[in-house]
Amino acid sequence: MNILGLRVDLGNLLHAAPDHYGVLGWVVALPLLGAVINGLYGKRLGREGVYIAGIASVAGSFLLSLVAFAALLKSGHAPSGGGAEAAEHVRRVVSCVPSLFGRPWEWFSAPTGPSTSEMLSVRYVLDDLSAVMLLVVTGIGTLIHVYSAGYMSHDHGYARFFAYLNLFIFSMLNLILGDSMVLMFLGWEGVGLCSYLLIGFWYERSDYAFAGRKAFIVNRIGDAGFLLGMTILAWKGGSYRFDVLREHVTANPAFLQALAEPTNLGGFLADVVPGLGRSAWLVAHLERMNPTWGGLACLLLFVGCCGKSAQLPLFVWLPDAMAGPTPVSALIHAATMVTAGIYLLCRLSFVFVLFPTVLNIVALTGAATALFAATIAVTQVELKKVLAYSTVSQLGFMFMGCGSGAFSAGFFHVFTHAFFKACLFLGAGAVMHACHEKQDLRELGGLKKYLPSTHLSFAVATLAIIGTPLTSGFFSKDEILFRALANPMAPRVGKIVYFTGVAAATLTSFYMCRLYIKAFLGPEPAFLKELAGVGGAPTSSHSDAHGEGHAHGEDHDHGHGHGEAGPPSEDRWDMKVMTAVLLVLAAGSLLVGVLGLPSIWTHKEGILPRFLEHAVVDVLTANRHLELNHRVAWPAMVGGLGAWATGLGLAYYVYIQEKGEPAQRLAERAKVLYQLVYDKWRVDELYDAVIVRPFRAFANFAALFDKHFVDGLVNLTGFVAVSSGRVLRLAHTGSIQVYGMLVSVGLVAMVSWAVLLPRAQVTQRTEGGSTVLEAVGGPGYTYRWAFYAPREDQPPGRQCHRAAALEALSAPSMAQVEATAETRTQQQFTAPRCAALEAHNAFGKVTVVTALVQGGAGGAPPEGGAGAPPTPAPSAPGTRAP
Amino acid sequence: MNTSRHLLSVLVWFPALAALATLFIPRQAPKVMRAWAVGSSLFLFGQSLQLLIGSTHSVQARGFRFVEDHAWIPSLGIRYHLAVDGISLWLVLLTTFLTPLTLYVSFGTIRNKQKEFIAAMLLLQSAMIGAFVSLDLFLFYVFWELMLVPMFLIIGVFGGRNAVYAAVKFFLYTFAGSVGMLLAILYMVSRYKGLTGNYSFDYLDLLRLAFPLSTEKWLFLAFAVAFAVKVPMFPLHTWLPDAHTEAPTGGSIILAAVMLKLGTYGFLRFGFGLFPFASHWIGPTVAILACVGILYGALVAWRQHDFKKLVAYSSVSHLGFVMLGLTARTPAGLSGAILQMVNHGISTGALFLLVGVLYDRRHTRDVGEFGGLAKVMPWYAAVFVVVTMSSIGLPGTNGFIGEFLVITGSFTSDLLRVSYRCMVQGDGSRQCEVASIGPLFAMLASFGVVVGAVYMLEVVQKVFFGPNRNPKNAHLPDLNPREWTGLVPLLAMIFAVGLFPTYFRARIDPACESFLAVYNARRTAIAQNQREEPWLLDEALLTPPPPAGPQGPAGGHP
Repeated sequence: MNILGLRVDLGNLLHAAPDHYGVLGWVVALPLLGAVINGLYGKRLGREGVYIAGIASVAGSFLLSLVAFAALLKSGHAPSGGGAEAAEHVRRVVSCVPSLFGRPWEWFSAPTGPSTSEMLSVRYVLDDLSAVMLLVVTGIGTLIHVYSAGYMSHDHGYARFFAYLNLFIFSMLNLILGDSMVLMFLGWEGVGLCSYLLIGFWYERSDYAFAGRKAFIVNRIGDAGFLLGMTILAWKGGSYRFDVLREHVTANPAFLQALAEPTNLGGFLADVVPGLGRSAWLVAHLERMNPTWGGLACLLLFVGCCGKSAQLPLFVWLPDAMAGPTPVSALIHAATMVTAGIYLLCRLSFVFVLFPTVLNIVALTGAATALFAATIAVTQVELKKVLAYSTVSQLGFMFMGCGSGAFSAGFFHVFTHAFFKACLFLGAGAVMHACHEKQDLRELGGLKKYLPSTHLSFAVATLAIIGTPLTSGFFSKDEILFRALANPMAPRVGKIVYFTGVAAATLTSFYMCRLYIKAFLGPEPAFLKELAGVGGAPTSSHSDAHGEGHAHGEDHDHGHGHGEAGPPSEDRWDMKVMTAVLLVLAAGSLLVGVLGLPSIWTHKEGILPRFLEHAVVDVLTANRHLELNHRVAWPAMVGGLGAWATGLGLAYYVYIQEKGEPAQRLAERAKVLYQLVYDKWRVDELYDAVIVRPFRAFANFAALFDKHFVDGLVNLTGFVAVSSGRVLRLAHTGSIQVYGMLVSVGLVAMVSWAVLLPRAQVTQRTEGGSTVLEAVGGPGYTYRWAFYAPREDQPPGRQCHRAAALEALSAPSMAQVEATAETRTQQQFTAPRCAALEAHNAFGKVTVVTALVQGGAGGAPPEGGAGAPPTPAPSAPGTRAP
Repeated sequence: MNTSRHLLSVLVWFPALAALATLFIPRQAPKVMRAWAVGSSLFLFGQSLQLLIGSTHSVQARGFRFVEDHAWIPSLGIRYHLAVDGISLWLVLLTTFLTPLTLYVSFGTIRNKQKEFIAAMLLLQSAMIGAFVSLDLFLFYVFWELMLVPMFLIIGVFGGRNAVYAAVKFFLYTFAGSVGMLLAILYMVSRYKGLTGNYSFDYLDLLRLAFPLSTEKWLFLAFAVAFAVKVPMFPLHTWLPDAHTEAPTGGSIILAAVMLKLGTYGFLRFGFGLFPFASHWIGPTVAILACVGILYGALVAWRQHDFKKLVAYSSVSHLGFVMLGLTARTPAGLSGAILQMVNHGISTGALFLLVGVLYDRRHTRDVGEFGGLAKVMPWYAAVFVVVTMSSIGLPGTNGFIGEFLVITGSFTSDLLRVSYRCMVQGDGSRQCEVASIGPLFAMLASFGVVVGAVYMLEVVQKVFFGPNRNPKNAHLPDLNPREWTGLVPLLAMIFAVGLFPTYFRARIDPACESFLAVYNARRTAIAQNQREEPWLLDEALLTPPPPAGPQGPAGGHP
């Protein structure tokens, strides 16, 4: 089979030919195919067709990913049979370059220096790191596609939805599998686009559309950082491709040196920006601001991560992104896209480990974000908002891990988080779907009875996220906290990060339990009882009649409705689909922790960290790791467990034992603080006041400036021209005399000007053996003549160089100046000469360069020239008054 | 028909002849007239494709192809010298590609005086192609000024309410800008005569001239003003929004997509080409103006309510990128700038077309009049979003490649330098530290990428999202077949350039490299050998060393 050059050898799927492993190409191509089909033909396909196309493309991609994964594992075995030891340092890689017309698809060549460039192919590479991410994205992606078929069953935009979702998977796969930073950037911005489209999916709501735009723009700020960081890295590191870059950085001192070059940024700014250099204090501080190029690159890349992974200060878009349909929140804004920042750090871990300062910034940013977002989550009352801030907080944990030099720990949390957070979001979606889009915690409660499977899965996922021992969240969070505490590069930073992390974990435990208790336990709210009264007991009687009325409801807020008037139930087909997915994810959240058991339990690294060993460069070496275990690992775990127990106990006390009264009392007593946290610390308002408004005001100013000043000047010029025309029109009297006078005055002026300017023309003739040069001039002129040797190396016609003439005329030695103040000069030459004349009058000066002047008549040898001295000494100048 | 021997003459003169022929088609047969216009311009597009295949014809040194070089006015050294190289190739093709498309789309709206419109458009095409392929400065100047006349008519006759004001402003502004260029050309020619004894307006001859910096500065400025008005660069841009708002859709498309490129093309070919030392000396200033243009254009675009003004200011911003790439003077920067010229032609052409679609339906360009159109015009919205993504440089579309190359090219540029921390030594000489400031410009430009997203997405939201409240918009028809016909080729080009830029750059890169080789050789020769008076450079400087290996499609791969 050979389509688009993506060859697939059906006989031997596991055999990976170098750069021709077509399976990998199809992993990427299938979701794009689904997106194109749904985007262009969605209306004609009908509902089922769209579901089939949408789900099958991603499910197919997932199955092929499994095949590719197997091929990757197989490729790791040394073919020569050298055994595991020999293969240890062989990095497992499976790759695919799609070909066009039989040639590998070369995208474009990008500069790596002023005159060097690197050809970037469209090349997909599966290695240990990308393989894990690939399975997470396609696996969870498939589940969420299935879930969406149920969730979006009442929405008339289903085709568009699945097209976007498929496009998202395609972009995400580019991000994961791209072999260069630029191809990764394609996916990076591609997922941003899909995120934008999906947040604003119900575009008729202006605030939803605005949330999408906000997400895109905040991400773009990060993307600009990514772009610049990648440029610097390629410039100093010599390549955009991850594998080449890694080779350069780890094995080539020249590139390491280039990365360690200082930028002199601060000193430069102090010198160049006007005013900055005035203050000695400022200069001193600016000069200390002198990052290396590599450090600057990593910092800029981290800005990109902050945008995509919603870290301080660029996190503001993620909570608003919950405007999108819930499956989108689960897939894009929790499980996959937002973890791209961590993925990038892991991909480039071999560079980041070189710059501990940047890593400290990463860790501290992560810790600050984790705590900051957790405080907000405590006060939020909307189901999805709590989960959104929880995501921001958990992403902070991942950055804590990466920043502590434990990239594999951070990535492990990406892995586990994908399961439990997807499960939580989808659970929230199921609740909203069943409860008529209600998601205010104050209105929910007692859902355990109505949605038993949803409740079960939600409970399991909650246990996982709060770090209940033996669930997946426990293992991954513990690993991060431990590695933060054991941070070998910056112990003090490590301690700060650790304790901040424990505080954030405590809050996590508390607010997640609060969320669970408020939604599923507790008394049934009035609306549930009402619905139960109206619709009777939860039955399946509606399952075949639902949807018709609302599916095409134009007047509905956003076209997304649900056909039920009855109480929430899991008996409808759409809810059945959704709960099935929830249960799978819940099982995952419970079990995937096995892949990363702590080393103090098993006395070796967990399965996943070991698997990633070669793809990701951690700071701790194995020896160091074991040595640290005894001292730090147990205390670190105690802290994590303490956080879990405290949060859980507190939530139990507040919301079950006391029915939420302590919380209300606290909120009333510390009203200002509560309101501040409830308003998300007013960060949005702060940004609005500090950045958005001034920026907008500045743009307004620029627009006015352009209209009235820049264009005003232009129109003023025009106005002056027209007005002067008007003034001159006064002269248009129609009188012949006046015209005549004006004409004569003008004529006289022109003529006299022309006459007054110095003019000179040189004529040449022979008189009795000597050459006579004569200038035609006028009264009041002074003249200077100069003669100089022609340049033999120049072609004829160009030998009398003007520059030489000027030189000769201005030469201080008067030897060459044969006549002054004369119009006429008589010379005898033995060799060809050039002549120059400078004519002066009161109004200016003119220089005339003649062509070659031969002695005698024309080119003939001068008469009687035989006796002339060998040097071109001319005879005494004959003078004649003009 | 095998026209490849005189292909450029065909490309230059055929539209003019077709315009003339149009005048003889009776008004009573509008269908014939339209068919003739579209047919002849399509024929020309087909002919122009030979530029891509006939690579062996009349190759001259330095990558100029399809050379036609005949004496025209021998006594003044004026020649009929046409040639195309990688710098102008895609711009010529862009012109021939867009003209039939624009004509076809315009027939939907221009109902009166179609004959005059067709004639003006075809004549304009002649002049634009002529200006792109002229290597004789006199010829170039003639075409350069000739362009103004049909465009003046298109804006003035077929434009909106304020058309005459806009047309006159456009005409006078650009005309006044190029007076200095004419004087500079004449001065150069006279110097050439003084040094060689012969007149010549030929670009390749005039390349031999070298001037002292004080003179070169003024010459460069004279050229630069003419081109900067056309680009347009901040602060000489204010004719553009007026011209665009008043011009009919077709005029706007051609004006933005092709005509502005003559400014950037001229900057590169003549401004930088003829005056390497002065342009190097003023380079950072030009780069600053380019960055100001990027950000300022974007900011002002953000605050516009008039749809066409918005797109016009976005052009100022995008052409800032082009100028930045040019001033970087690295192979990547130059290649990116040239590609970005083509990209801007495609994307902005498509944007003006789309704005025209809306204008035809509602006869207003006020963004505030719209809202929620995605509901009633879903395909229109989809196409608009795609073009928006191209305009803001999303990877996978054409805009990304251009912007990326410009940003990375200027980041790594070793020619954008400033001296600072100067100290006066004991003997009175100044010693300075020299820093590359390319990174700063790249950072400013990448900030422009962010602002680009701000204004484009805001207008997308205002027009397409939110509730559709205005009853006048309740039943707007979606794209009709004529509009689709115009848009599909542009959409195809957006992705073709975005996904397969190597194909396009394979023709651009060698030309950029040989241009830079000559540029740098002349620059160093002039800088190291400053004299009081103009002088002639060694002929050998003007022949770049042959490329190291066979040039594959990979282009600038080292």
